[in-house]
Order: sequence, then C-alpha cells, then structure tokens
Amino acid sequence: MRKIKSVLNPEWIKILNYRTFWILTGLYAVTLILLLFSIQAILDNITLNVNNKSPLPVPDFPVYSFPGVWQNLTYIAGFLKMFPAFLVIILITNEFTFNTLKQQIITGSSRLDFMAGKISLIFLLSVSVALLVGLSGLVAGLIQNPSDYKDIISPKLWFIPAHALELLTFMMFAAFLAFLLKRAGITVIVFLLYSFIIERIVAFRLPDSIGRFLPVEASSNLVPLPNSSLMKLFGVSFSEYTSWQDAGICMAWVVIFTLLIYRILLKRDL
Amino acid sequence: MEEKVLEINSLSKNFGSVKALSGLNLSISKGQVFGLLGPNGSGKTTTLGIVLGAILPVNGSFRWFGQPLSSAALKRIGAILEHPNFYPYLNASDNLRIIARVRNTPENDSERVLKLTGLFDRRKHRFQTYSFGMKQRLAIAAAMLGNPEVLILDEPTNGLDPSGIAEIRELINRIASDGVTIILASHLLDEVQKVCSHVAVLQKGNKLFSGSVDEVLSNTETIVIGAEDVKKLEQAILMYPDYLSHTINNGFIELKTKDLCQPGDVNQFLFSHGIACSHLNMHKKSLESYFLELTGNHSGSK
Repeated sequence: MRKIKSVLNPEWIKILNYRTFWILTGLYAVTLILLLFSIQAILDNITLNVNNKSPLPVPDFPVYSFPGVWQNLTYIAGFLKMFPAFLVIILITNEFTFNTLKQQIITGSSRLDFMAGKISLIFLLSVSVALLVGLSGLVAGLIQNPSDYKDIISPKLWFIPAHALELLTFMMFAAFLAFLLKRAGITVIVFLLYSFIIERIVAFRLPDSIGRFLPVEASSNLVPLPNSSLMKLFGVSFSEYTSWQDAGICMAWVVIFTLLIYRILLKRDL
Repeated sequence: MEEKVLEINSLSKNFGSVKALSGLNLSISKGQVFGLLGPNGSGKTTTLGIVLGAILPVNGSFRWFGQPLSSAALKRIGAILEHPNFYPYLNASDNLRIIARVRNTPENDSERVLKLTGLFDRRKHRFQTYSFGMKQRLAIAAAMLGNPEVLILDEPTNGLDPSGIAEIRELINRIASDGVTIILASHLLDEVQKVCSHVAVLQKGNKLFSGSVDEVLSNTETIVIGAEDVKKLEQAILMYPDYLSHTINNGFIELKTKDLCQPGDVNQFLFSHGIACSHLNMHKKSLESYFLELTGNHSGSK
C-alpha cells in the first residue's frame, strides 16, 4: 500500500495543477451526470411518440427503480467511456511529448514504478467513475421512488464493479496504444478506428463465441443491454447479470495490456 | 587505488545503420571533473543516455560504483540529458517536487537548489514561461536535488548568455571542489579546458584520446620565434639540442621541443649563433587546436 502511494504521488502532482485535465474531467462528470439524470425524460418522450402511432400500447420504462437502476445507468454510462480513455491517452503521451518519461527514468524511477503509477491512476479513475454512477443511481432512485428501499441491495449492485472493470479494460487498452504510439494524435485516431470500425468488422466476421474475446467487445459485454418492457413485448431477452466469463476475459486483457506495456518500456530506447 | 565511479567496457550502439558508438572504453574516478569532448553527433549524448539507462546498448557493459545499473545507483547521480525536460504547465516548484518524490529527497531541498541556480523568485511561474536559459538552470537545479555524488551535465551552458555561462562554470567549479564527480559533455573545447581535470575526445563513436587535461596541454607547447632572416633562423633552430619539430607560419617559426620549453634557453642559444630574435613568444596551444588536429577537422578553425 505504501508502495502504491509512493508511485501515485508523482502522478498526483502531475495532474493537480494541470488545467486541461481538470477541464476535461469536469466536462466528463457534468455530461455523465446530465445524461444519467435525463435518460428517463428522453425515454418517456420516445414512448409517448411511439404510443401516438402504435396500435399496441408501449408501457413506460422506469429507469430509476431499484434494482434495475444499477444495470440501466451503468449501461448508459458505458457510452461515455471514450472520455476517460482520452484522458489516459493525454496523460501518457504527454510523458513522451515532454520527454519527462526519460527524465524520470534517469532520475532513478524504475520502469516498473513508472508503469505502476500510471496503472494505479487508471484504476483509481475507473473506481471513481463507477462510484459516481452508483451514487447517481442511488440519488435518482430515491427521488423517483422515495419509499422503495428494499431492492437497493440486490445482486444487480454487481453492475457497479462490473462498470469499473469495463472502464479499466477500456482505459488499459488506450494506455497500451499510447505507450506503443507515443503521440496523442495518432493514438486517438488508431484508438477510434479500432474501437468503432476495425473490431466491429472483425467481430462481425467471427462467430460470437470467438468475437467476445476481443477487448472492446469484452468490455462492452460486462453490462448487457437492460431488458425493457418493450423488448419483452417482442420476446427479446438479454442477460440481467454480468457473466463471470466476460469478467474473466476482461481481467485477462488487463493483465495482457500490463505485460505488453512493461515490455514496450523495457525494450525501447527512451 | 582510486575509487572508480564509472567504468565503461566496449560499449556499442547502432541507430539503424548509423553507428553511434563503437567499442567505447572509459574509466572515471571519484572526484574527477571529466570532459566528454566531441563535435555534434560524436556519441556523447548516446554514451550518457546508455549509462543513465535511457538507451539500451547493443554490446558492451558498464558499472556504476562497481555495480550494474539500478534505481538505487541512479539516485546517487544527478543528470541533465540534452534539453531540459519538464511539464510545461507546472511551475518550477511542482516540477522539482515530482523529481524529489522519485528520488526520495527531502522536500525543502528544492529551496536550496532553486536559490543556487537563481530561480527562487520565479519558482511559482510555469515552466513554459521560462526563457531557455532559465529552463537550462532549472535542469541543473533538478540534477542537484539531494546532493548527488555524481553530476552528469550534457551541454550545460547551451543557450545561455555569457554571464549565465560564467555563472554555470563557477557553479561547476564550486560543486567539484566539494568532491562531487562531474561528467561534462560538451562540444566547446574552451569549456572543457576551463572546467575539466580529465578529458576524452570522441569522434563518430570512437574515442580518439583520453587523459588529463594537463597532459594534453603539456604536449602542445610551442615557441614562436621571429628574426629578420628566417632562413638563417631555421638553420640555427635545427641544431637546438631539444629540437623536436618546427613549422613556418607567416614568417614566424613555431618550434616544438622534446622537453618543457624554456624560452630563455632558446634565446641564449640563438644569440650564440649570431641571431637576434625580433619576436619570442611561448605559446600554449589551446585544446581547441589540439582537438581540431585530433579530429582532423580543420574547417571552421579560426
């Protein structure tokens, strides 16, 4: 624990007075909270429009009712995970742009310590965001159903740590690309291309049983699409829990990315 | 037996097809002010980058304090490598705090090094607002955090104005007098001559020479003699007992002798041969001309 504190301390000084970091983090937090608290209104609006035209009545979908709120909000929050991944890319490529990685190595930081600092920061970021989502869920749930306490504690609370793992896996992938490519611009482009286009094409070509092993796919599978009453109407049903297999695949990716980053640091001239 | 601080054995490094270092051997002892001298691209920064663990060697080995490189060894060494590398959006204090944390040095030590380098009043200003000279001084301040036993300075006076250069040289001399071993890379001969006790001359990744600066200088003393009849003077000088070699330059004879030159002896000798000197001057050849001779690079000489 003291070791983690000592590697995190320089990282903390680096971001404490870094205005860009706090502006982006603030924007992310505001967007996230806004999205989480307005999703009910958006869905209600859609339901209303559909009901105007549909012969069959579509029932309302109470987003914030316990315990469904945990899955609903972590699923929604997953759409914004690009944001913290960009933060990670900026923080890591900065070290190459400013040549400060080299400075820290010749100053006496080991490559392992340096990597541990960055990964601890990513871990902390994942947990903080997941907790923020959880807190938003609790507040929104209590506002919508002030008397409904009994379902707060539910196995669906596991979606909070699952979301943290989703963010961790995704950010570790971003960190790996940042260490590999060193420049912010190229890293962001490769990261977006891979996450939104390349992996989807590859996953499309592969059977599901193999496609789920791809890193972005695996992180997205942790929180499945919530079953709305509309879906039940169409007879579609998604999983209501995080599968241990998907969690295992993501943890394996976190380990793999860690090892790859360490290898890059060891084998490359700074 | 002198205590060895750094020993380098047949160190080699390629960058693609470019040979940056080929089989470099060096030995630096405690308390030396060691100059690494060479033109740009001669392998100075590569050598320092390797011994500081930033660049991986292709072949060869090196030992710090008799041990292989480790974080613990690096914490006994303060170094600036190439350009000053700091977070531009942080002020000097924060930048130094990061380094202090990595090195486990006490927090209040940054005040000392900031005062030493004249940056204390600007410590709350962001690094990106600094002039190049201030950036360079901050790099030196960072290298001195925690009183390292060895100080590595790569072109420390680069980009400084004359008074800044003088300050840094004085600072180096002061630190050296405290017994700190200093390794100074420079392409400025004058700098090495003024500051260093020992020197290694590098060219294209090869070591051309290494030894003490005095040793280099003792080889390079000449006596410049002028007389009305240069031909007669030349004939006479060939008979001088300590004669080694001579050249004629602008009507003056530059004489090299086997032992230490005594201008008085030369004058007496010439007078006894019926020659009156119109000009007699002992000339300590600068390291610069010696360096240009060694590297065979006569273009650009004064």
